[in-house]
Amino acid sequence: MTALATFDGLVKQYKTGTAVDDLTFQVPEGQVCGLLGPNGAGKTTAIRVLLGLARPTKGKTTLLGLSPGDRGFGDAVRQVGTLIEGPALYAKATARQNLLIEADAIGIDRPKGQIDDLLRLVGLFDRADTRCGSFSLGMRQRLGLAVSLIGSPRLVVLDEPTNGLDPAGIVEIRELIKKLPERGTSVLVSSHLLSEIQLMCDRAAILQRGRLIAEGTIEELLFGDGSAGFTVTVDPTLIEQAMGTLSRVGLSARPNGDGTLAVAGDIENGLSISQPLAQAGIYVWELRQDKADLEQVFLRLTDESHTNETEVANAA
Amino acid sequence: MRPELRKLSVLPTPRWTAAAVLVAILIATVVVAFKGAGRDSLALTFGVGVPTYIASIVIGVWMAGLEYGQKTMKRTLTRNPNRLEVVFSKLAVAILAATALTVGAALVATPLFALASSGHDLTIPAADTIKVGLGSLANNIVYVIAGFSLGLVTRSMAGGMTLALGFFFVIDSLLTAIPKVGDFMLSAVSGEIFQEIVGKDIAGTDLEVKIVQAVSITVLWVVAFVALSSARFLRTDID
Repeated sequence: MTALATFDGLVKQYKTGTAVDDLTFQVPEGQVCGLLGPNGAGKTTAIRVLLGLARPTKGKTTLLGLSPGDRGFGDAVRQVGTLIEGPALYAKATARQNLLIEADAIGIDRPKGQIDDLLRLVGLFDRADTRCGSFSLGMRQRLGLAVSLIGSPRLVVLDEPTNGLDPAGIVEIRELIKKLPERGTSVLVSSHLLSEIQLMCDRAAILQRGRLIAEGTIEELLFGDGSAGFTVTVDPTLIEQAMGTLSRVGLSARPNGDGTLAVAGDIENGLSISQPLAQAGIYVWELRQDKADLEQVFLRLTDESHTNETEVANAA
Repeated sequence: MRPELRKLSVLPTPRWTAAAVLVAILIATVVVAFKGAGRDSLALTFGVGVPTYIASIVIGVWMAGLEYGQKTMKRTLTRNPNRLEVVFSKLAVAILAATALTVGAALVATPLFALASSGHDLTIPAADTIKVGLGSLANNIVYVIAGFSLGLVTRSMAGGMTLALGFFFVIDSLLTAIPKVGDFMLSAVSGEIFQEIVGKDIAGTDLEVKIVQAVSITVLWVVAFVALSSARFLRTDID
């Protein structure tokens, strides 16, 4: 799969400290890719380096195969829509005029049809000729998204796109972002809202203090280490026997204390649990997949990362 | 240049600036109609020269400061990461706007001043207004570049205007009064160029004009303004 954006050992240092530390990560074509981390984790800095707005201290980034400064980088970056640190809009211009300015910057002739489509897509067609200075934050955010989508970019880079939106607006933007790969636009989206990343992304990279601490598909991040699994209810008198049966097929099972079993391991689906139990004459009363969330994964990973750093510091 | 031209046409500051120049011309026309042309071509100075001079500085500062004020510089540079190209396309549009404004002001003022002064002994011939327009144009191109550079240095519209007005009305004027040093200041050399174009009578000055030297010093000022402001813009990260 082609990588539309790559970070290769990226380091960005400021006088005040290291913002990004040895970040290696790729954004594959056709996916919604998340960059996840708390405020100050280095997400925006990494994006700014990727787009040529800041220079890397070490390492390199590529956008559609080209690094900032390479011949043709300008053409590459024009195929990338951006929304960085809030919507960058000319407040005294109307929504339509903002899109016209962007269309001129990309070099689109006769952009009217495309602008109307985008305004409809983000629900601002009726306010097309209103100065965007009078827009609410949510409307500005939606217009910012429309600006980033003009010219049907191959990739859009969205930094905290749901900031300032009400719950309905968040759902709207999330659904819009999820559909972008169908329109031929891949997405790199950064957010500190873990639930948002979980709901809209195919894969994610988790950053903490500028360092990559985990990367993979959302499923890999959620279930890859067996931190989430299934809750199984069987006849309480057969719990010990069920644990033994599951252990023999390579799954770990432990009692939850409420008459149920927590089962983890390499579980493809519910059948991986119910079948061996049934073969052993134990019938499953209830089988429920535990809802893992990125928040738990993130907290555990950042805790591990912190522990490792402390150990290294103590050893030194 | 297309996006910059679009910004010039859709955003209000250039329109308000042009409107202010028009108001100055109309006020000067009324004054001329009631009081006459006045000595030393005062009507031309205050009706065309000074308004277009200030308007050129405003346009220059605005063209650079706009992106910082609206926080749109990142958007501009992610569409065109060649920063030198961004600087020159903005500068070209700012010069174009200042030129259009100055020429437009002269064209509007020419018939108005001629008509308003016709009832008085001292008239304002169309040729004089056109000459002042041309003289102002030569200076305004320099002022719009200077304004743009100062806007780029301060990274703000308000900061750029403050620095530009402080530079032109205080620092430059004060240094011009110093013998020898003053000969190299922008207002001194631009005054010489203006006098060379419009003539002593209309300029109301009697400077010893060394035109080649004046033009050379002006070019040096322009290069210094652009080079110093661009150097910072080209090298630093964009927040």
